[in-house]
Order: sequence, then structure tokens, then C-alpha cells
Amino acid sequence: MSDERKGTTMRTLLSVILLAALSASAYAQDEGHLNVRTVVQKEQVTVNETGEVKTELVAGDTFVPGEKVVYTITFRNISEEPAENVVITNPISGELMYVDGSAFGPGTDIQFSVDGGQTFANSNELTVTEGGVTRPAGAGDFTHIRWVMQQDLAAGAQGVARFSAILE
Amino acid sequence: MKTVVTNAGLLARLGVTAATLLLSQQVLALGTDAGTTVANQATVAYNVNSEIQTPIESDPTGNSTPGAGNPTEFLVDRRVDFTIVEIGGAHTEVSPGDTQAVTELQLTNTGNAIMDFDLSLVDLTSADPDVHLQTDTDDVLINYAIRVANGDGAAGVPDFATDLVWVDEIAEDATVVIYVFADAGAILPNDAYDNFTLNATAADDAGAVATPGVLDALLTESPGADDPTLIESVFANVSGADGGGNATEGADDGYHVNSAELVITKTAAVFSDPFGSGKALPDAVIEYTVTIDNSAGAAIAESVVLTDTIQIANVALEDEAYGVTQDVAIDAAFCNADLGDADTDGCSYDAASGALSIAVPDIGIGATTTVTYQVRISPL
Repeated sequence: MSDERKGTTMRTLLSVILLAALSASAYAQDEGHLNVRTVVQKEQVTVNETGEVKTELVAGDTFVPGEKVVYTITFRNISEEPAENVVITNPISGELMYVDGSAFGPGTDIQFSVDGGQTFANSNELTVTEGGVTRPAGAGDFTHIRWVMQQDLAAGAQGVARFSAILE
Repeated sequence: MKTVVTNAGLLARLGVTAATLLLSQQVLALGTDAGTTVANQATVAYNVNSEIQTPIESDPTGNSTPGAGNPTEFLVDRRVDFTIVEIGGAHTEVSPGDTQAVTELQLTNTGNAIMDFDLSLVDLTSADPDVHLQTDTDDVLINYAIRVANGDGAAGVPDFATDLVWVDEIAEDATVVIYVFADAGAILPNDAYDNFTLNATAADDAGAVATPGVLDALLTESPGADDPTLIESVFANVSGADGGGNATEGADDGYHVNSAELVITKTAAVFSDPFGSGKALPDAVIEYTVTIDNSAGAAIAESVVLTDTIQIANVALEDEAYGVTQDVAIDAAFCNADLGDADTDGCSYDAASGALSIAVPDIGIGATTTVTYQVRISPL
């Protein structure tokens, strides 16, 4: 084998390794079809000169116990194809108590879990058994919220899911 | 390499979140501790062309990479909230001369951080609102002092010498007893009220761990916009003596003085006269009756001394009016007012000045002592 051929083989091997590395890297950074963002905000109530009360959502980086925390999840289909069976699942942190009736999501069926996310159902179908007594589940029992989209999320379309909780 | 760092970061965050969750479950009833980071993350599952895709986790700035995003977090600020109440709903009873008369108040930390509290006492006046429906009578008790029970003595027994004068490191939802000590002056009118306000001001290093044994800096409400990187202070107290908006709350309490309350009555009657006429003639003997009544008092009257100045220009104390060495009658007993009798019985009379001084035994609550003595009108 000439030195030149040896050099070519080396170059080929190097190329293969580089390609492999590149594809591995490409796989790791491969974009999904959706862009998902969660922001946390608080309600700010202002009264203007005419006595009009306005409630708006402002950035919430810090909270004190008793304050209402508002989470908004936005999910946008950044692909060329419709996304089917879109389901958004959000655990409720132990420090938070879900505000009854606050979950919101246009075009979604909103379900809750009282067992750490193992099973989900509509809020009025859930029960909790404590000390052998079964009772309807309340807002304080919910561990997870799930929004189940009723239709496909079209290419370029964006959905929103929101809920509020009180910091305990 | 970047991916690895991200994963490590995520794991670290998850670790923190798990620890935080555990902690918050232990102290759930007390409110989430200041400084806790609360994380939230949504996961979106979906299909494309009926193929199940890797779920995507949310990120505060948006994530489209399948799998790990970053949780959306916030920091729990310090909610400064506490109550101070007096115990018993009534004034503490004191008598003149009492020392270190104790009244108790209670401070409860209902906020979400360990706190120090500075204490101060304001002595109220008659111009201030009533306390327990009683107006301050502007009679000052002396040497008010504050002590905080530190649990090193017998239960409920304040240790004046060693207890702190401020509240150190009181945990969330914990209650501490604050003692106020007062010394009552030796001379105080019966039924006097002395009211005070005990103020507590929240103190702590801003956002830092409090220092045991040291009264930390007094708190001020964190001004301006929220700083996401700092534990800031929000004052939840809107009621109480100060009207809210600062770190101070107060409670009112006071002392009620139980003292003797003496009513003195003096009457005169002709005891004898040269003609048996019953008139106050020259050389007639007049008997004075002095009643000292403690019916309205709430304490035994001690060290009572009755003084009278006999008008020697016209009359003189009748010596031995009731018998030998019995110049003055005090209820059923007698005393000798003669000069030079060493006055061991507390009675004395100075014929040159007419000064009569009679020591009266203690007069009990509700009791009356009657003192009688006689004078003779100068003969013609």
C-alpha cells in the first residue's frame, strides 16, 4: 500500500467518524413539531381616575403565601404537518392549591388527576377515599391537570392552556 | 457537551424541587417558607401522521426540543405577618410598693420566615384611648421592663435576670410569651389605672439566614418592582394599633392599683362642763371623735398616722382622759401622748405647739378605726 492510498483511507475513516458525529449531533438537536412555553404571572388590579377597575397579568418572579399564581402554557405547531392527539399535562406543585374552575383551554377537554397523574377524569367524576370514607374530590386534591385537544393542531396554529393556584 | 451540562443542570434543579416539596409538606399548614423555589413544567404529548412523538417539555422562553425543557420557577418572598395579644383581657392588679408585677402578652409569628422582633413599651396617658374600658389616670408606675420567655426556667415563670428583652428567632407559627414587669410606687391612689402599649417590630437580615442571639436589622417593606433574585419582604399586617403598612404591631394592656382609700371624719361633742349644762363653756371638756374609714379601699392601710394641731391659745389636750397613761383612745386601746414617755406607742403631744400625732394600727379593707381624744377649754 502506497503512502498516498494509506492517506486516502485515513481521510475516508475520518469522514465516516465526522458524519457519524454530525448525525448524532443533528439527532440530539432535532426539533419537535411543537414549541411549548410556560410563563408564570400574577394578577395586578388597578383603578384608574374614573374608578374603572382593571385586572391585568404581570410578570411574577416572586410571590408571598396567599397570592394567586397564574400559569399560562402556549404551544405552537412549528412544523408543516398537523399535530394530532395533543395532550398537555401539568403537575400542580405541592406548594400550590389549584383555584377551582380556573383551568382554561379553548378547544380542550380539561381533566384532573388525584393520584399523581396515573389516572385522569373530569373534575366532577373524581373521588377521594380517606379513612374509608369516599367523597367528591375538591380543588385541593388535584395533583395534575390535563388538557386534551378535541381537534388537531394545524401547522402554524397555536393553542393556550391556563390555570391559577394559590401559593400556600 | 452542552447537552450534558443542561442535563446536569436539570437534575440539580429536580433535586432542589424534590427537597423543597418534602419541606413544604412538613410545614404546609404554616405557609411556604420564604426562599423556596416553586417550579412548574407542562409536558405536551402529540402524534404526527398517527405516529407517537417524543413529548416536549415546556420552557420559560419556549422549547421545541423533544424532552427536556426548563421548569418555570418563582421565588417565595417573605410574608411578614404576626400577632401580638395580651393575655387575660384585664388589667393586672398591683398594690403600692409591689415590685416586678408581671403581666403577659403573646406574640405569634404567622408569616413564612423565622423572625426576630424588637420590643418597646409606650406608657399611655389619659389622652389615649381606653384599655379594657378604663382610662389611664396618669399615675405612673415606675421601672417598666420587658422580658421574653426563653424557656430556660420553670414553665410560665419569667426570669427577670436572664430573659432577653427582644424576641430571638421565632419560627413560623410559633408563639412566644412576653412579660412586662412593673414596680408600683409606694404611694399610689386606689383604683388608679396605668395603661401601656407593647409594640413589636419585625426584624431580620434581608433575605439572609437570621443570626441567633443577635437582634437582626429591623425590616422595611421592599420598595419598588419585584426583584426575582431576592427574597423581599411584604407586610401582610393591615390591622392593629399601627394601621398596617410597616413592620410594627402593638397590643394594649395595663395595671390597676389596689390601694387603701381612707375617709376621715372628725366630730366634737361636749364631754363635761363645770355646770353640767352640756355647753362648751370655759373649763368644759370637749371630746373629738375621728373616724378613719377604709370601706372604699382595696388594700390594707398601713402606717397610718393621724395628726392634729390643738389650738393651744384656747384649748389644751386633756391628759389621762381615759385613765392613767391613757390620753388617746384608738378603738378599744389607748396610748400615752405625754412627752418623755419615749413614744414607743407612736403617740405624742407637744404642749408648746399643740402638735398631736397618733400612730394608728393597720386598717383592714372595709374596716373603720375610731380615735378619740379630749381637750379642755381654757378656764377664765
